[in-house]
Amino acid sequence: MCIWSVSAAPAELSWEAVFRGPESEPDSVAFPVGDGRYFVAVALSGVQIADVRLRSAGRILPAEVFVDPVSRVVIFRISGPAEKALPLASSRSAAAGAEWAVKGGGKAEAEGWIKQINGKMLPLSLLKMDYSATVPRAGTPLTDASGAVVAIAHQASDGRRGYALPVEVVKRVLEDVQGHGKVSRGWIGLKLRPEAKVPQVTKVQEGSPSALAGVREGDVLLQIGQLRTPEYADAVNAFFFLRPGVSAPLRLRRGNQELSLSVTPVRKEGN
Amino acid sequence: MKPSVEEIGALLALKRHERPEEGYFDDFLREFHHRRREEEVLKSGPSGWLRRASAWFSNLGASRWAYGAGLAYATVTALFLLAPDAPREQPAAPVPVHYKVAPAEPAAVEQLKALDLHPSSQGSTGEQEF
Repeated sequence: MCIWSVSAAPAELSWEAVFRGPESEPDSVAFPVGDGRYFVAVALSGVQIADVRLRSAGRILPAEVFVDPVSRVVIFRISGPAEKALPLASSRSAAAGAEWAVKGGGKAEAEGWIKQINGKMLPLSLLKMDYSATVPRAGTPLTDASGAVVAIAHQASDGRRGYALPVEVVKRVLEDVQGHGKVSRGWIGLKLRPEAKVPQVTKVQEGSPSALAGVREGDVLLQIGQLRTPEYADAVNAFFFLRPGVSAPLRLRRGNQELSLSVTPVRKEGN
Repeated sequence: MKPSVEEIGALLALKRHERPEEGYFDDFLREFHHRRREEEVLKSGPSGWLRRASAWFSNLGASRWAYGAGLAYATVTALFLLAPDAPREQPAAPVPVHYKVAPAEPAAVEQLKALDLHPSSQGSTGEQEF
C-alpha cells in the first residue's frame, strides 16, 4: 500500500482515492457530490481500478466503490455523515478560451476538445487545458465563476497542459450509480467504421433498437441524443451518454432526406 | 639427191643464227592455254560450266583473290538473309485485363474501449459496434 501525503491535495479538499500498487502510481483527488455521500475520483492509466479506497486525513473511509470501466471514473458512496457537496454545472458549451478556477488555487484555460490521442480514438471526448501553474492532481475539480464543477483534471500532457474530463461524464456515471447501484452502457446495435470521415452506418443488427427505430445501412448520423455528430468521434462520444431504457432522439441523413427517429437503447450484454 | 656434208653444215650454220622474235615463247604458251580452254568450253554439262568458271577465274590474274573474297562474303550474306527463320514462339493471345481504379484504403484507426491514455494502450480496429 502506498503512503500518500495529504498535504499534496488542494487545501479545501482532503479526500483522495488510493490505489493499490507501486508507489509511483498516480493517485486522485476525490470530492463530494450529490447528496454529500458520493465522492468522485478518476483512475489514470496504470492503476488497478479494482482495488481503490477513499482516504481522508490519513484514514481509510468505509465506502462502496463503483467504477465505470470506460471513463475510469470512480464513485465512492460512504455511509457516514454527508459532506458539503460541490454543485455540478455543464461543460457542453465550453469553447476555446473559457477560463475556470482550479479548486485549491490557480486558473485553467480550455484550449478545445480532444477526440483522439496518438491516432487512437477516445471513447469520449476530453478537454485540453492550459494551466496557469503546474498541472493539478488528477481528480481536482475545475469550477466556473459560481463555484460549480465544469470539468475534472485528468492526465498531464506536456508542460503546464493536461486533459480534463467534462463534468457530463461524471453526471452520466453518477446517475447510474444513484439510480441502479451500478454503471451500465446503452446498446443500440449499429456499426460504424473509425476510418470514415462521417459516422455512416455500416451495419444494423437485426432486431436491435436501431433496427426497430428504422435505421438502415448507409444512413449518416447527424445527431444522437442532444449531441451533434459531424464526425465519427462525435458519434462515439454521444454513444457514451446513451442510457439503457431511456429513449434518445436520433437524427440522420438518408440520401437527400433528413429523418428524425427515436431509439431506446438496451443494456449492453456483458455489462 | 642427198645433201652433201658441206650443204648440211651450211644449213646448220644458218639455223644457228635463226632466232624467234621477242615474246614468241610467252605468246606461244598463252595461245596454247587459250585454245585448250576453248576446247573445254565447247564441252557441255556441269563439268563444262565448272571448267569455264574456273577458266574465267584463272584469267582474272592477281585480282582474282579480291574477287574470291567478295564472292565468299556475298555468298555468306545471301545465305544469312535467305535462310528460313527459326520457328518463333507464337505470341500468347491477348487476354483482356479487367481493372477498376479504387480509392486507397484509409489507414486503420484504433478505437480505445476505455479512457486509458498510456501510449502502449491498444484499441480495436475495423467496424465498431455501439
